[in-house]
Amino acid sequence: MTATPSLLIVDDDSFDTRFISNAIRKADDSIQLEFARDGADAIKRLEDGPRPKIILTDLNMPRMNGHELIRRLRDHKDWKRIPTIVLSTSTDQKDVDLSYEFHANAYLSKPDNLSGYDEIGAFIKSFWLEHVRLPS
Amino acid sequence: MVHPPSEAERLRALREAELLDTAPDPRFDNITALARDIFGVPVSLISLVDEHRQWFKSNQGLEGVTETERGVAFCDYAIRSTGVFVVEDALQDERFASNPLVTGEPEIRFYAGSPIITAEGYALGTLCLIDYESREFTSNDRQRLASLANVVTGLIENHKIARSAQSLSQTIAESALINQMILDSSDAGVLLLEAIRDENGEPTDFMILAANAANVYFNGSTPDELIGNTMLNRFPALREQEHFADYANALNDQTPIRREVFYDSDGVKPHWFDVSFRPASKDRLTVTFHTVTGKRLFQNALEQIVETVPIAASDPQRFRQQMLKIGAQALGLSHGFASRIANNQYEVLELHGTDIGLTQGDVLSLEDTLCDLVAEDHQLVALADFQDEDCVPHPAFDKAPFRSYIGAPIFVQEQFFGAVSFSDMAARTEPFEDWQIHLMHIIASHMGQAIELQNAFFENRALARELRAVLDNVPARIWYKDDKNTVLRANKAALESVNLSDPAEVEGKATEDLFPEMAAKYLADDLKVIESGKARRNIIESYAPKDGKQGWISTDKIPMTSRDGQRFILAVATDISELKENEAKLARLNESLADFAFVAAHDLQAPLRQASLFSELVRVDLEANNVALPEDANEYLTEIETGLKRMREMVRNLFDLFRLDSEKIEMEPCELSRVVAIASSQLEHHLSDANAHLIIEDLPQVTGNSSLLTQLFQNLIGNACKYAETDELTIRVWATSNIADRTIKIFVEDNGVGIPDEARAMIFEPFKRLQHNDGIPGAGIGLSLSRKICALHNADLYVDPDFNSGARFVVSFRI
Repeated sequence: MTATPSLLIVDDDSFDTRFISNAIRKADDSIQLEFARDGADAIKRLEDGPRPKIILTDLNMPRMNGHELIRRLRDHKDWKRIPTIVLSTSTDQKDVDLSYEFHANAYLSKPDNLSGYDEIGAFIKSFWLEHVRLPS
Repeated sequence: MVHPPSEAERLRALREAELLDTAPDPRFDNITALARDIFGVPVSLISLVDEHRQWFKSNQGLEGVTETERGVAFCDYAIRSTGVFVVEDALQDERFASNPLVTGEPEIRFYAGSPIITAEGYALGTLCLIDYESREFTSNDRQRLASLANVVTGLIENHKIARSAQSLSQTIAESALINQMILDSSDAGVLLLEAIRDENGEPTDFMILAANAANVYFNGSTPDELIGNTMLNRFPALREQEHFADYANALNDQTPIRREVFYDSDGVKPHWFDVSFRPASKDRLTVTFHTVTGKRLFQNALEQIVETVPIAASDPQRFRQQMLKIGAQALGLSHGFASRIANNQYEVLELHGTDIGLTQGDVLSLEDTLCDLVAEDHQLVALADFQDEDCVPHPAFDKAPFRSYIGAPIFVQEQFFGAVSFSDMAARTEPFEDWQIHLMHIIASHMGQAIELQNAFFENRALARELRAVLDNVPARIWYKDDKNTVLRANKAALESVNLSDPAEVEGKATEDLFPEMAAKYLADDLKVIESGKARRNIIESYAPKDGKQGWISTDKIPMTSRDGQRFILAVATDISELKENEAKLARLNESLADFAFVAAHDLQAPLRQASLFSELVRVDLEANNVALPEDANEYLTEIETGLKRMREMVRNLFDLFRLDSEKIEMEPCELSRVVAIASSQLEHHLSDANAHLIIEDLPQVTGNSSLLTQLFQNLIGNACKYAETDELTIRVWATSNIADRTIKIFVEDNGVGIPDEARAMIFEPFKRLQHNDGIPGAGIGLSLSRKICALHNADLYVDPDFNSGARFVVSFRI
């Protein structure tokens, strides 16, 4: 276990990745960010590298989408406890419901302005990294 | 018994007196009654002695006895005596003592008879007295009886004179009758005949007693040649004629007989005669005859025409030939012609008679034919003899080999068409008769009708052909069937659809043979249509012919009833296989288009959102670096931001719109009151911004998708807020339900500006905004989305056209 909390951002869109990472860094510069460009890439990183504290994933991605990723995580003996937050453009209730069904820990919509991103960055830092007790 | 040599004479004289077996005559009875009184005897008789009997012309005292045998007659002795013959006591007289009239009833004892002797000296009988007791008869008595007998003789002589006078007057009357008849009917032949009888009294021949002059015309004999001759001498062939019996029958039955007979023998001009036999007396009869040949020919011709008329339509050529033949025969002319006359041309339609160098179809100049005269006034023309001085010359006289002509105009549909005419190389000795002219008109009129019929027939046939051509050239399959699923007729397209080419192959065929799988359904549909009497259109169904390509058809079924009440079905089917295929293609295309729009809208959202974010980042960076943009650039940046925001909204709405197509919507019972409450809670800001007062009345439950319905009412209430333009906006949501037309209507109405009439149709189209409300937020997709939601709920969305104090949207659910 490393001292610095790490966060894996899974998104195929580099701009969106940039907005959310900017916002998180703005909230806490010390959070270590890892990136995967889709579900399959995320699995590979989990297999190869250290386990992140929290996973933030998009839903709609090539190769393996967010739902599938969550399902795989929850089926994996080592990864199933990693808090996974969905950050998607979809406002479709079905996407929301399916995410929770696979035991996502939260569902957030991608904001359409900078302050929205800033709020999410601040919220992740204060809620998930400061208040919430995370699994081992 | 031996009679004196004069007995035969005496008997003839007796017969001529015409007294035997006649009725009682009071003049004779008076004499016998007188004799009885004078002589005081019980019986007095006038007895006429016939060949084998004595007959009592008058009888006083022997009532019931009219005659006795001559053998027992006392009178037979009396007529042979020269004076009065007396037997004073029959028992004492050896001639009579054993006479049965003496020995038996009536037991005559006394007889006195005085012979009745005619002027010629024949004793016809006696006036006699009888008593049943013997008595004396004095010479004085004899004198008186003889005088009385003379009176009887006188009476008999008178009777004879009267008879011959009567006979004379009858002869006079008969000749008067003949004269009368001759006067009355100059054209009738008259004969007065007397029967010549055989030994049985049967007439065997007839003596011609009188004849009139008209006989010359009929049989070429003058009255002088006829009178004194017998009928069979003059007309030997008469014996063979059926009607010869009429001569005798008329006499025997004493009743007139009349009949029509044809006679062409014995130099008699061949004719039909109307013959009358009238009995004039027991032995005489008059025979009158006049010709009825014309009448007979006319009748025969009419009968033949009637027989010929039925072929007018089926065999017009034979009909015309037949008519010409009938006409020529009846008129006694050798040639007949039927023609069409137009533009001064004479076209031979038909001709009858020996070859004169003309054939059917020849066209002559009209003025070279005598029908020129008919064509001139459209009148019948009859010329018995061209060379007759009364006949106005015509150039055609020299062109044709004829001497006589009769022609009548043919009219077709009241228009002059041509002529029917008859001619002969011989002149007629007499002018055409009335019946012949009449017959011409009849023939011409039948010819006209036949041509009319033929025209109509050809028109019908041409029409039928045209119809057939039309039917065969339409792409629709046309089937004509009866109510038992039997195909009666089919057009070309229909035949081709079952891989056949000859109409005969389907006519009368059961639908089952052509469409084994569909026949039952077709019949069921047919009967439904036939029974309702109403056409059913656009029946879309697949079809599977036995030997053809399967596909889809759209069928119109039209019920038909024939004149005799038979029910039929006319099925007009259009192959819509291609249409169906295209429809499916289009559906797939639409689907992929919707998919594309959905994906595009989805994929556009990210870059648009990101573009907004980057424009924001530009501002943040500028601010962080304390760089102030020039005013123009700042304005441009703002424009970019506004445009991006608007675009994002549009894309999101488009996304929402197409998402509805790509999703399956789950329906459940929805409390509309709750749905509207949720919608209004989400519109809280809009409502307060517009300072709106929202009234939600009791709303029913419907089946639907609550989130879509929430969106629907959110759109409608949101619109009301957007287009308020009033300080006191009231929005009312209420409902009505109509059981009769099975609708529930939800009204969302406001007291805002309302929607102009001309805008009502277009507000439901995507991205249409009301012009005067530019600057009001919204991408203009709300109402088209709303209508789509309604459509998904099988509901209508429209603007109430009758509501004028604001806008009233109506959502009409079907229940």
